[in-house]
Amino acid sequence: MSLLEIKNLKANVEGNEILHGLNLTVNKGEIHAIMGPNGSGKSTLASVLAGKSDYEITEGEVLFNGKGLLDMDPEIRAREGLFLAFQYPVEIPGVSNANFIKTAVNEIRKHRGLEALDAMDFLQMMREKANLVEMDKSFLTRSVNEGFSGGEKKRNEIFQLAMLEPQLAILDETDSGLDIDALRIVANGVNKLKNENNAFVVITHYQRLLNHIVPDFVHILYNGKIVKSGGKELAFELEEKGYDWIK
Amino acid sequence: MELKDKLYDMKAGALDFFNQNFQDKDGIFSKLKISAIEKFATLGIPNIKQEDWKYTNVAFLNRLDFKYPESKIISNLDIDAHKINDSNLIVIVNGEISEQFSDFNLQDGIEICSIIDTEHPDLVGKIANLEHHFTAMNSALFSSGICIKINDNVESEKPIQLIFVNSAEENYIHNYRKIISVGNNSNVKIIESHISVGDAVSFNNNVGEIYVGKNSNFEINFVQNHFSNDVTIASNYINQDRDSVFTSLTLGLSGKFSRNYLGAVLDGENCTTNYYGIFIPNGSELMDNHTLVNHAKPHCYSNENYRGVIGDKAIGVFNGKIYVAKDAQKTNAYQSNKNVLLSDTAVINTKPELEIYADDVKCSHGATSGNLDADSMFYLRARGIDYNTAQTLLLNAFVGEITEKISIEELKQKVELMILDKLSK
Repeated sequence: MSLLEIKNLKANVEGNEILHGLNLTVNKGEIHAIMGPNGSGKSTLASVLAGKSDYEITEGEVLFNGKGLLDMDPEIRAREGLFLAFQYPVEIPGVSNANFIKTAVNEIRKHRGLEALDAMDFLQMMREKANLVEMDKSFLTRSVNEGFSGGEKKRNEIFQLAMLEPQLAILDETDSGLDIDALRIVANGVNKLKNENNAFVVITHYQRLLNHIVPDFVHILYNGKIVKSGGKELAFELEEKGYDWIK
Repeated sequence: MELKDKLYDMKAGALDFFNQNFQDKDGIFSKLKISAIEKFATLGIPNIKQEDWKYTNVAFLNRLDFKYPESKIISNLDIDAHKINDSNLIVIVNGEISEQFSDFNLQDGIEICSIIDTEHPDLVGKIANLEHHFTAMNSALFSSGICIKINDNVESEKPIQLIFVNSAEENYIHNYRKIISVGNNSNVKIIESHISVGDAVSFNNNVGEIYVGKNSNFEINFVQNHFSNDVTIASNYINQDRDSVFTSLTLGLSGKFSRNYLGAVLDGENCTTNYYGIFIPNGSELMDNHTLVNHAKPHCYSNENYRGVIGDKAIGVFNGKIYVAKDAQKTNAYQSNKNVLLSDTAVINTKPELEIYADDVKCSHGATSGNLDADSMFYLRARGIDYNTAQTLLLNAFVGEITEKISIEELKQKVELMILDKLSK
């Protein structure tokens, strides 16, 4: 059984159809890159999969581990093992990163029939995962993303990914606005977290990130549909020829 | 018959009761009561045509019958949830200081007594405004309450906690009077809590007069964790002498109906006034905060910050008046009221009122109301946190800006739990 199966997915936002019948299959152990020009539906796809309510699904289905994903509330999707690294992580003043992530980890553990982590184990785990993305410990006591630089926000997303250990991680333009050092840190984090039981869908505008996170498959999204799929070489071709080539 | 007429009818009785039971040196109390009775007979109960009561309808008071509480003794009382352990605890049952439940050992320079035994009757009625309906009513009818006198140069070791307990076997009306007089160069913190036992309606009409002396620092925390039936009208008048700091925290946690009036006169230069508040009504509760900061003298600073979280069919009211007198140059006055509405039927009425007669001042005010930020909710839920927990996390953060001002750590922790408890309902 595939980890994720998207079949003929159509989605509207405010009456405009953005996804026009999208198909995609992702198996465990794979990294997929989805590339496409602005307005092609990349972020819509990410939001629809994570369960954002601004979208109306008009047709198609999405199976996650064989279960209907679209009927699940966002929190259930997360507990079932889906993770979205946001393009624009939200700042939440007054909620500490540590408290937030602890609540999330324990909700997910509960869903998986595991006991809540005690304070010591949790602290240990946070330290370990923070190191993975070279995040200073002081980030943990600060409010979620408040006053973080662009790069710090993206590192915080990967830190959360590491803490929540999802089966499928969707990285929505995680590379946008990152300098080369931050890009390297983020990519290293992802590469260390990758294993044969999980999968990544990397949504990006540029080929640059794919030098660091090497995909098994590259898909080109255009006008709400995947118009071309191939191996990692497709990304280079795209970088060379530009998006006009596929139109 | 309207409440004012019922009470007016009680006039003779109230005065007789008072004269028989209390010493009234120089007749100060009797004089106050006679003029208050006349005043209240004219004013009566306010109606919604009056600007100050536009959003807060008290007509229901006319339909209720109230008695004066008779029994002052309660045998069982569980105040653990409200008690601050590291404090001087004064428990006041139906207006009388209860020796049984109180636990205090006051340091030199602090005196606490029943209002009727006060040696400073001149402080009663001195700054309370008899034009306020319920202050007139309280002044006419009070027969109990408390007087706290703090001398000059007192550095208070522990906070003083006042727990007012109402027994409500029947619909009782309580008119407590409170005097707090802080001398010069002193530093004191007070926690005032109100609780009720019994199922009937407790109507609390409290009036406080607070005097803060030169260069003193006074902090009062009003914790309103009333029973669901309780009707509370609390009016506190403050007079600040020069270089003093007055800080209040009004925590509206529960109660069917509450109206808090807070009015400070900054009556000397270089005063600081901080008003902080949280109100979180749900169900059909109404919580109203009316405040006045009266900048009477130059070079003073005031900061007001109230946050409301209104759920279900509840109503929140905030009215913040800043008055800057003609001579009060170099005034800095800030005001903010932010609200979150949790349902389509929740109501907030928020209104700043600025009256500025000086020309060299800095004043700002701001009010917002809206729903919880949808993007933040989605972000939390996308991490596996369910809707209710996510909402509680965000609301807790929203009021956290106020609770972090609580300087008494034990109180802060208690209040945070109480808020969490209320918000998760």
